[in-house]
Amino acid sequence: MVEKPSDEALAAKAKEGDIRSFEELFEKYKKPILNFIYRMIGNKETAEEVTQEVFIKMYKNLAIYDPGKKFITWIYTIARNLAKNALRDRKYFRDASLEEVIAEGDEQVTLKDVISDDTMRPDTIAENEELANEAQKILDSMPVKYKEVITLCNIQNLTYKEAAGIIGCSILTVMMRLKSAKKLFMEKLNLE
Amino acid sequence: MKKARMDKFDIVMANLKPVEPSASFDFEFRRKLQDVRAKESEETRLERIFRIAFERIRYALLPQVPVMVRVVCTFIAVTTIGIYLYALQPAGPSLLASEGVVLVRGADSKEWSEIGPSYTFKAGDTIMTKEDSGLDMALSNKYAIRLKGQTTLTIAKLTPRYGKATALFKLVGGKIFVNIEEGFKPSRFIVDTDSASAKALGTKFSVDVSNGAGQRTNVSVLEGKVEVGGKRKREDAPRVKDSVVVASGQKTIVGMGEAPAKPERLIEREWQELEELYQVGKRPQVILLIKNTPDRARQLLEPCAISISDEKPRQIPGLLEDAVLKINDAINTGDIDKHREGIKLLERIVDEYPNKKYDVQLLLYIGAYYEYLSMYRESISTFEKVLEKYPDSPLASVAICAIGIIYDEKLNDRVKAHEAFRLILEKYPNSLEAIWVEKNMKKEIA
Repeated sequence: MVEKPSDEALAAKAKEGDIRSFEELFEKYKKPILNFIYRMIGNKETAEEVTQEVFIKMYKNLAIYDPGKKFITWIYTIARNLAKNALRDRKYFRDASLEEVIAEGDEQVTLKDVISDDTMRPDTIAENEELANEAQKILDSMPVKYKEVITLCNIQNLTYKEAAGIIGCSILTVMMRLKSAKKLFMEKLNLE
Repeated sequence: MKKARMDKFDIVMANLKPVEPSASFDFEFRRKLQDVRAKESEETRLERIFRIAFERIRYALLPQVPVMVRVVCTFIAVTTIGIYLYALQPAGPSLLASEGVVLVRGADSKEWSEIGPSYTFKAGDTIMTKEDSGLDMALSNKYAIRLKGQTTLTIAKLTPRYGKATALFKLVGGKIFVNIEEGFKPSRFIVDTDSASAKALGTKFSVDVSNGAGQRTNVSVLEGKVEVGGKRKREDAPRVKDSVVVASGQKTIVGMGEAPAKPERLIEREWQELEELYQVGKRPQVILLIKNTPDRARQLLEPCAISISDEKPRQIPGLLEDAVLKINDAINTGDIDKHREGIKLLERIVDEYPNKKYDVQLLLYIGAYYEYLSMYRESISTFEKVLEKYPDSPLASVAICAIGIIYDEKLNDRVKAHEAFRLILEKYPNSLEAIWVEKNMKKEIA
């Protein structure tokens, strides 16, 4: 069985002009990047636009990509920068439909219940769109530095080292931020 | 409990349902990518290199650096560039004093206008003095220029505030005195006339193309050295390559299209004219009040008066002010003990605060004072100190001459006196004292 080439090897090939390798990277990372950006800015349409922008940027910058460095860090760094730009440019933006869903959520199960009630299974959120929306709403209300660590470490399951590389800080900083971020999240759920 | 909640939070977050790209996502992306690739094929090689370089800095470096470091680096970079640009600006000399009618014309204007007080000169300015007028301009610690009457001078090029460069002045007509100071030493100072070009290698000189001299340029040097070169009459004329170095106490004349004449010793009248150079710009802080005539040594032994310029009093030790007060008191009261105290104070200053700016003057003064007090041996040894420590000073010849006079007249030692006078002719042939020796002692020492 032929071993799958690494991301770095694919990027190196793409750097040499191999469009198929680029396509492969796009297929592999489009979903994680879209989700990362969506969690950061909270709007799917905009997130899609920014994601496309990320891959365009990546394509343009392949010439300066250093195959000795981890590809995942590089692509996420681009994504993080563009997501932050988008947040800065579209501060006014709020998803109206999200507000409505939360408003009529009185009789439904809330995120607070899921986390505080031992009888409830935590993976309910996977099927429950309202819960997911509620989580996203809380993320939206948090400072960027907190929501990016939650997104990278908790939602996307990247390692602390990878997150540190993407954010451009030390692993210790990531851990401290993540702790503060979780605390803030709980506070927003009135659980602290 | 808390930990359980945190763990649950982790599971909840990990189970958040990922969003799926919409149906048109891939299509949209491919269309955008197509646009980029089409554009890329139009891009030239150079554009590509520039774009990549720019992106490299922007994405590969900056996002990795913490904001504070970026801010500090930007601040340092901006400040450094600012200081560099500031230092590059030409430093214009400013007007020190003017008398009579002095007109100035900027580089772009055709109108002459009267010069205002505290005017700062710019490159391209032309300055014109009328008859019986004059002007002093100076760039602090760098150079000072005095324009005599009926002089026209164009400032062709100025040096930057910091760093070395060439300052170029075009003397159209008339006469200027130039006094170059320590701070200007690494830079070059050039005075151009129609017939000659004088490059200062030293400190004090004058350039004269006044009407009496016709189209010829006279360069006289009081201190240091000046390199004088001739100029071609027309562009197609053969180049006059020769240049001469005019040392202190010498002059040279350059005719139109000629090489400069061999430097000659200044004559008595020229020495007196050059005396004015000591007043140009910042004056020395300790001045011996003697005239620039061949009998300087005799004036010194009168004894001459000493003066401290009060321009920058802080640079002079307080001790010196005390000494001058004591000596003035001694002169008034005629008290020999006070005289001795004054001299001891001056000697202490020379020992404890050595400063080549005024040590020579003070040593000469001390020597003259011992002579006045009839302490001839002490006097001679003090003058010898000048020769030992400052053999290149323009006043060194005064010290030897004074030694000669003391041996000759006070100690009646003719042999040693003549030895001293001969030394003047050998070592300082361009000095004023050489003129004096030739005039008064030629026969005796022959």
